[in-house]
Amino acid sequence: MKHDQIIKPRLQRSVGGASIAVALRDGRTRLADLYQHDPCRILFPHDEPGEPFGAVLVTTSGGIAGGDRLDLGAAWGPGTAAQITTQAAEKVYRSTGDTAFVSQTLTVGAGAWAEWLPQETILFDGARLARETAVDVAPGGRLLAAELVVLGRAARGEGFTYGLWQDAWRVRRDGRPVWLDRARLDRDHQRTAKAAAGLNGAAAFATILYVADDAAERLELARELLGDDPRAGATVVNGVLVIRLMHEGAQSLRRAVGAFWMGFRNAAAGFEPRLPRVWHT
Amino acid sequence: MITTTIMITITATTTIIMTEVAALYRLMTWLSPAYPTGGFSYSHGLEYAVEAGMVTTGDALFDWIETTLADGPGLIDGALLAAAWRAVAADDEVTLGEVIEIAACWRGTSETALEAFQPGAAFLSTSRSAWPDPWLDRLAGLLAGRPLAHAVAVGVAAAASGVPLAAALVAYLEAFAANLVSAGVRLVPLGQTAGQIAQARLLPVVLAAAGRAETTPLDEIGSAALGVELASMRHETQYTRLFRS
Repeated sequence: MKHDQIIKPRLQRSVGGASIAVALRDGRTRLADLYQHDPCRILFPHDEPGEPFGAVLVTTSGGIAGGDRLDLGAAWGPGTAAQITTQAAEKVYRSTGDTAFVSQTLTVGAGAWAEWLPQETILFDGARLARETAVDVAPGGRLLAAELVVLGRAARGEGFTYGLWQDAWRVRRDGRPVWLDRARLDRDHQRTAKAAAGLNGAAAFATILYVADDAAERLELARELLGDDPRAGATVVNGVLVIRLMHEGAQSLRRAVGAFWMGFRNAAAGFEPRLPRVWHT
Repeated sequence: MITTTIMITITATTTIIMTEVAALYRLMTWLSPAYPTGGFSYSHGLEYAVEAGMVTTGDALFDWIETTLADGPGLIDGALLAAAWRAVAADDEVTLGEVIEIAACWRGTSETALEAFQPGAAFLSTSRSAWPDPWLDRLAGLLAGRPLAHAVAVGVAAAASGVPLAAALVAYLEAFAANLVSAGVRLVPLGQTAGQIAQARLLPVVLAAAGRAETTPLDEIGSAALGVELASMRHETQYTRLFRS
């Protein structure tokens, strides 16, 4: 999406974005298009042997405030293999009333292998975040995508007692809508946080999607990787493999997501069971 | 003259009352467990929650259903019902087609998708025979191979026959709640009276959820019932199962 389409005239503290496209040239995945506007940057770490093309998103503003608008896009050309992550956890600050909007568009071409693994988003108490991730995967393309959210800064004894957490997914296959989801916490935070049917005492959540022709066949793999952890589950809805994890905090969630990710990419795509280097720092 | 006016007033009032009573009759029929949709065989993840020890008492059952209705799938389906109702009331097939698609895609797990689609298909099939209406035929034509969520089917039937939206929402969510109470009574197990105490306590929850489903824009509707999602996923591999979700 182009930058000028997303400017709204009022209440914007900062409007920014970045997009990247990769294409296959001479049998290798290479950068085909790059757009970056403050506070977003995209860095390219050195290639690692056997690993897909890598890109790292950086937000130079240090975090997201109410009223901010970020537009992020990634396009995997036919036959490419690339992994995109973020340099650090993203902080969303306490809002005085305005909501921060983050829009992410992931487009995966035929025969491409796409990994979208940003580090966790931390919502400070009173933050207001509405994020939407729009996905379109062509036949033969494969996308493994995750979003990790942590509610409150546990190290400061802080919860998420007010504010907005909204995380939506819109998934298409070859342009056709196949799966929608919208997590939303905007009221009755204390009750929902404790409720067994609600957040059940957890403060860190992950959704992982695998959108590919063989998604349904990978359900057993996903279940094996999750083991018998009662805080994790997997299902297949309309050909989309959906994995959810709930943990008490960021560290154990990152460990669980990381273990799953390494095992899944190894079994499904033959890549080494590794995480992006920035995940270890 | 005075007599005439009074007679007109009485006739108009009687007509309104008869219309409302007829709406009540339709809702009680369509959302009764006796209407052959098969909804009784689904627990929306509750069976796993009982198995995992998360729901062991009447109070815990109330809490589980409260979140499911107020901040989870009940609210979402209520909002989809409302969107379908409005599309029919506005004679807007394009919007109804979009609502059908959104409702078909907006399913958290494979089993809750089945829980929406199998009763949706059964509701439409039965209603086209028992309560024929041109809108039900138009709905069938609009599906174009897509699955039909039960909430959308109820919204269309209600709007087509002049059943008020607020009443349809309360009836739909009451039935949703009653189905889970009934499942809980069998699964925990609880006495019938304990189940009905939970059902009575759910009255304000149902009314509030119906109100939010009616007044909140669809793009501000979402679920905080992550425990329900996880329970439904884990139900898929539960060893002993009475319910299909």
